[in-house]
Amino acid sequence: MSHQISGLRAWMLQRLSALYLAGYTLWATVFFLLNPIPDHAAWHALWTQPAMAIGATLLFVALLVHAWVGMRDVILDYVRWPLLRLALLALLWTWLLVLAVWLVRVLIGVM
Amino acid sequence: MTPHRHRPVFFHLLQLQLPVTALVSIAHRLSGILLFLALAPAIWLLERSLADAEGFAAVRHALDGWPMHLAGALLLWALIHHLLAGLRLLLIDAELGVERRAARRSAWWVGIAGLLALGLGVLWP
Repeated sequence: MSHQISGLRAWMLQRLSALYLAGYTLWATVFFLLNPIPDHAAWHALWTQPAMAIGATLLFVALLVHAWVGMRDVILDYVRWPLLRLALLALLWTWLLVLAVWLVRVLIGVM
Repeated sequence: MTPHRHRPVFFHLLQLQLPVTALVSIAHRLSGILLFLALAPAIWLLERSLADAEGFAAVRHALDGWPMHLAGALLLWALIHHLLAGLRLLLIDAELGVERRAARRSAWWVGIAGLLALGLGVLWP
């Protein structure tokens, strides 16, 4: 996997996810400043809307992809001992997978 | 390889005079790591706040406390700095602001905006 998505492709994924994350952050800031969330019912209702579910799903995918490329770069830059490097990359993968499953559960729970 | 084996290495970090672009770059990396570490707590808060009215109230109460308030301010800095430093790099990728003077000026703006966000986060009621 890392062999196929290394270098330029990882760089591109980082940039594309960054653009989505930046756009989403801007949108969310404006939205929540204009529409403060009064209680749980309103918060829950917001998450059941299809547009929100799609936007949030894309957000989570972009977040995990972006976190993967960034942390991978940090590990490759600072950890030079091959075995430790491999172990940390595997740990990163596992951790991101756990977060992904958790996010799917949250999304399913609210829909 | 061998002729360079004994080249001098200068690692007195406090004596190094780093340009602002380097500081912003280091902070970009640091803020990214912070945001990565914040992912799991953030998902946990999201899950609890969506679960039921009690969970929502508990999250709101927790976010009002001082420790979470300061953590929130730090994460706000991390988010704003990381976002702006990233946009700066995207512009530089597009060959905008590559010249040293422009690059330094944009780095100053990014750093200052991040610190303003930190102040805003701390003072937020």
